[in-house]
Amino acid sequence: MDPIERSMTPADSDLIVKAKTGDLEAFEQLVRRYDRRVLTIAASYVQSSDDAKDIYQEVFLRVYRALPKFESRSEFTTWLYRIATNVCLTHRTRSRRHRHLSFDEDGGEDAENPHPVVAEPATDPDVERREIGRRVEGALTALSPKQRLVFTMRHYEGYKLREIAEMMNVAEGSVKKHLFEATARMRAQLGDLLDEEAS
Amino acid sequence: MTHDDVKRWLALPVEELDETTRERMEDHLALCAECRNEAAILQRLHDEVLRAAPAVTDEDLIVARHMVFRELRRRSDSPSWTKRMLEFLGLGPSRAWRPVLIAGILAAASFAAGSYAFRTAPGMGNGFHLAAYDPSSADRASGAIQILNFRILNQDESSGEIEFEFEAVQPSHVTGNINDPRIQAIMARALVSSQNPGVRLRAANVISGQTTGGGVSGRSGDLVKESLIAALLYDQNRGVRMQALKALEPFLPDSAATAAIIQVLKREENVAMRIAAINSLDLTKFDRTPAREQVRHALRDQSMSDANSYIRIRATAALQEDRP
Repeated sequence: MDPIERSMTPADSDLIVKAKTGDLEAFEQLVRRYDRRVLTIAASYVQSSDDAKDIYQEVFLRVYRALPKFESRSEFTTWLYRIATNVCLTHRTRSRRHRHLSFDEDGGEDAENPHPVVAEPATDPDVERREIGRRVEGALTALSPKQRLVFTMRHYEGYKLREIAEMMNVAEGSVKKHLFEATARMRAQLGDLLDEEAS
Repeated sequence: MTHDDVKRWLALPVEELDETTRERMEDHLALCAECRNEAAILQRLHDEVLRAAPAVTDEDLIVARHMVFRELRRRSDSPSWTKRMLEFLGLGPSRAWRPVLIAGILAAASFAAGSYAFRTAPGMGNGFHLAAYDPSSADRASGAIQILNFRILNQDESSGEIEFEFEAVQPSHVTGNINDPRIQAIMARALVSSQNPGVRLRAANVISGQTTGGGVSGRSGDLVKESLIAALLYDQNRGVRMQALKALEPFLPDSAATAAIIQVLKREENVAMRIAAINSLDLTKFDRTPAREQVRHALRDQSMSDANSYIRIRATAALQEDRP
């Protein structure tokens, strides 16, 4: 961003002051500034774009509601991501939801859809890739919420342990413990797959 | 240093180990094949997990934003009746009054609504009747107002103060004709605002039958069209999207409806939806209209670049059918 553009871009603090008075446009600017990361964290955690959007919505509705009480003692982003991780940890996955809207995965079961299923046959690497994806998703689902959140933030997003601790509002030691336990469980769940590749 | 120590450290990001630990681990790995193998397995675990990572697209972000912004605008446009009542009475800022007043208002409203439900519903002219719903239901007749989405926001056990929110809904029974603009407006609102996909699907079905039958025009037509476009582009339920697409067809060659269906053709992941979009974009509907070239261009793109071979064939056929 060049200096002129920067000087014309309102600071977070200005937007927060306006949003606190109910200025929706200011709030929307704040949302646009940081929401990609919120959606990414959510999508990594729940492995589903629909559930991730539910989490996203809950996060920003909570932020909007709680904004009048935000006193800028911490960074807005720290506060935002803390809310995001809290919503992730308490989120209940929607029942009977499919992971994505891919036609060849769920089209045949959909009674609402009167149109014929026309899917191209998947090649072997595609099938294998999807199978591995399903195994990884299954292994992630078997982790505890905190283990899963730490593991996905570290492996998908590459966050530092200190950053994860800050977002989750826990000690760095707890993050290390969750990461170690999550890694051990993932390793055990996917051992055959990983050994197979090693051989 | 034991194998277990090293395996523990391997689970952590190497760049976050202190220098001494990192050096000791590297020394151990240089000499220990078992731990080297473990390190390789954990690296593969990371690679596989990364490959399975869900992608967040710009479209996901747009849809998510739309959901939030729409909800916030809805709340901002229509403050709850309790809030309006509190503000009207000049008691808005006083938190201490709220629980008592809300309870009072609820009791009074329930009594009034219950009495109303037992009356004969007055007609509103032109066959449109609105009344409190189903007087035969004892529960509803006695209380009428339903409390939905009740949520406690804050509770201070020491002082007894509590802050909560809810939606107070008064069930309504409507009898009327589907061509009545007021009925259309209710259907359109149900289509975009109901949380229940079954309700949205039924609303889309009703609108679809109505638009196919006689068409809609004027302000209610615009409202219906915009609601259908919103449902087509943003509804999470494929059945609703499909029904919205059918209901939009009679609006063609309207430019907004055309642009929305082209978006479906380009971006919808579901193959059946894309096929339905091609069927909707029948070029004969666009004779001598500005949208004609836009539709031809979209079909041409899809005939060459769609990932699905059947779509490519359908798009090509649609273009060929258009030739004199």
